[in-house]
Amino acid sequence: MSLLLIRTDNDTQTNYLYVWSEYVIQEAEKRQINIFRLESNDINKKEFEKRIRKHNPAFVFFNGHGTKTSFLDNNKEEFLNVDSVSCLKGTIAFARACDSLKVLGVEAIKKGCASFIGYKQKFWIARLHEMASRPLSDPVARAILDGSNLIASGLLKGKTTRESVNSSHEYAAKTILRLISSKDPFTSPTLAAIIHNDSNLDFEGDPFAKL
Amino acid sequence: MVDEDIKRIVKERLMAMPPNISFSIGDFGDFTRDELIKQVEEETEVGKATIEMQINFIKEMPKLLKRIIK
Repeated sequence: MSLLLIRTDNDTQTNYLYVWSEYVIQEAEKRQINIFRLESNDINKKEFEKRIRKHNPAFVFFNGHGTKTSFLDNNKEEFLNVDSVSCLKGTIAFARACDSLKVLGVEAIKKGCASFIGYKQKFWIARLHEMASRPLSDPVARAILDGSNLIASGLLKGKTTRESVNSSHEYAAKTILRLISSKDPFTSPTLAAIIHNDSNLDFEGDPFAKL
Repeated sequence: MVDEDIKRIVKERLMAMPPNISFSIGDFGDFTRDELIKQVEEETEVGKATIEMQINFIKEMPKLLKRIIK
């Protein structure tokens, strides 16, 4: 079984996604899952399709900017769109990206993707200015990114698509309950982002699909 | 046109946040609290997304609490 991890890093938001996906790498390594990486400026349509053909990954995890119909590389060029989404045939895909579930996700399933997990609207990250160069130490962003990491790590642990998504929903609910009673003013932006992202998280395809 | 009362609620919710908070909103980019308030005021695409996010917060809260408190 193998994981194709794709992560862009062309701005602050994608840099946060990039570094927070390290925890998913650790989980995959712990389980001796082969990890193939496509990162930064190496990402383009040709390289993506080459990695898919060569490694035939069971799990494709994209971190970066998305649109309703595509995934974008570091130059904001499409490297996967509705016309090429058959590349995801047979895989479980998780897009930690904006907007991609409704159209790209639906098309992916029509073209044979086992399940496609993603967000229906913008993925928000609340963060502290002074932590931009140290995202892993940012207390405002932590719960937002921990919650979405649970989806990828759940799949790596053998949970089904539905169970993995539900584990993120449950984490969000528990975090909201904890933060809502806090007097710390820094919890309010975290709460707003978690509630927004959680209400836009869903999947298409087989709820029982697993790695 | 966005309802003025909705805009006021959203701006007040943002004002209650610390000034050293930023939001990264996909390919819209990064915005400080005060920049978001300005975007809401001007009803730009970012401002509308911010209103949607804050309204979502208000709408989703009862559902979430129902899920938590069974």
